[in-house]
Amino acid sequence: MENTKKSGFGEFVNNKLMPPIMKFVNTKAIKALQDGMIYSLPFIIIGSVFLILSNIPIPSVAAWLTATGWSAFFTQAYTATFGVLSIWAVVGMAYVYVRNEGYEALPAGLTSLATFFLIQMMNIDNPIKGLMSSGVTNSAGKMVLTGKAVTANIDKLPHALQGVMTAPVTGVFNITWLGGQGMVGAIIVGLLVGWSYSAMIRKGWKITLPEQVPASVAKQFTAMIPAGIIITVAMFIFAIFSHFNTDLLQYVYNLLELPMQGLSDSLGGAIVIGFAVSFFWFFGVHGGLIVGTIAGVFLMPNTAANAALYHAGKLSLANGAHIVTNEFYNNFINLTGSGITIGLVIFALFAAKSAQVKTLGKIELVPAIFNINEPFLFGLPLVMNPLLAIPFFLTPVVIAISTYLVIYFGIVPPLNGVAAPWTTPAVVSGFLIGGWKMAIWQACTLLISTGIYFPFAKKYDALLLKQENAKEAAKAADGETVDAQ
Amino acid sequence: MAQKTIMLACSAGMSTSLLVSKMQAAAKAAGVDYKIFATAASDVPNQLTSAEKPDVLMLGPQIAYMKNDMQKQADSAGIPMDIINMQDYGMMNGASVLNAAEKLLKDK
Repeated sequence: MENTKKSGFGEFVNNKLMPPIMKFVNTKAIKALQDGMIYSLPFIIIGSVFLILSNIPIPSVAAWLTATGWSAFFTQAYTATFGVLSIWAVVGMAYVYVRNEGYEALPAGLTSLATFFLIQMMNIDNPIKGLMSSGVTNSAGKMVLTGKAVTANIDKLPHALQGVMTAPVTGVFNITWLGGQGMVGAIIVGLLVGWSYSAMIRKGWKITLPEQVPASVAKQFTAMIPAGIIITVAMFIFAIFSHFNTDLLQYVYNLLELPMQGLSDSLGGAIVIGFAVSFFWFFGVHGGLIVGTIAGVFLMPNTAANAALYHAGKLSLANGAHIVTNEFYNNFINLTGSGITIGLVIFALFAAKSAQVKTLGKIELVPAIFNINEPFLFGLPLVMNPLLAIPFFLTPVVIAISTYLVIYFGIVPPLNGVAAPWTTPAVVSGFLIGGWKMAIWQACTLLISTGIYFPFAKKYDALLLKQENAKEAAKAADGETVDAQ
Repeated sequence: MAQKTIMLACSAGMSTSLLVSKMQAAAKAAGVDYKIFATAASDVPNQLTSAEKPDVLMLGPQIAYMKNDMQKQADSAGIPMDIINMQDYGMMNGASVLNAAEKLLKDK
């Protein structure tokens, strides 16, 4: 806005604060993270569809699906997609990193996957071990053998047999670590492999075959040295961790992912995320993209954890369900576009007087339904506009707090882990990600937005109208002078 | 080549696709023939290296921070690039953005 005086703070942000943030956002690692994660999205959304199908909330339908065996097939489809999202991420990130460096990228993506597999223990706890504490329940959910009884029975067996029966089952992938719990580990692996692979290729560490060898054959050997080195290093890492009876994924999960999940899944985290989106946008930078990438690293595991609870039929805060998940971000904080600007749309359509706001309201109506609001961000504008800054910053924060609280106090159940694409219209997305109560709450947030934006929009609109009238008057005056000549 | 291709890019190619339809309408009204399309920023490298690369690249203002990187890519593809004016973008002023694209094509 040319008529806005640049304040000291604005200058500080533009000259001091934004450059390092932009530098960070533009680093190869963040770009690989952003674009690499996108590869997991289709699988998350397809998996969500099967998650819904395997958990139809109508008891008679659910019973029928279980009886006919379809439930198990839906579960299989969910597990192979959404259930192992770390696999898509680990391949995608190394792939994008190396592609951006301009080298053939698929071998790097596959090396990354191999490394990811390599650093985890390929075993799962013996199910017998779990039964010794939980007991055996039959298909109707009735306890038929208590944990104590199981233990007593096992104790009667010869010692050698006991050992075998309680030892971890080997030769399997533990899908727990291929899903949300392995996410941060997958990101670290994906980026490190992408980086080291590119560095080695750049240095020329590859097998160069004589020119007579056909290019397609020679290509296969390009990856050999970098992949060999990366995998050897990964093997040593695995060996070191296994000496301490753990693996890198579990270590990273406990050290980084768990605390960060906790931080993001808190009232404070929700507020920071809500505020940050508007903050970046205010300075004309795509806030949704930046915040989504960084927060998504920790919110995605929260979503996956809720999905697993939902799938097990145990979704409740008491069972450890998360309040702030990726959908909390996608389908609440960015509902109807960054800044939750539906209130502005309603104002523009029904109460605006200035031509600019009226026109924009018509342009923005349909995009707003699909949660896109660039016309407002740049057209009103919201970017660098102090007159609309207060509601623009306030609305997402208020909605973040209130959404957090309605889930916290159990008025609305936690988000079920189903991932609806961010473009899913309001209320529909609420229904998908949390049932009918969530849909109603989502409708309430639209009213909150309207309430907050209205008074500010009214003032701004009046100002624009005044400017427009002044311009008209000036034009009319010009016209008269022309006529007079 | 009779027909020039204009490529717009934003974060996901969603909001720019709105602008694309406005630009197409403006081009039609002016009786000029362009191929105009929108894509995601992450897809730009693919597009620029493809056989049918566009003749001009225009970035949505929300990803203006990618300018340096995009400029490099556009330069190596040998096509002009610029950022779409914020007001034009917001008001979805197809004619004005089309003008800007034509100007870039001429200056080349």
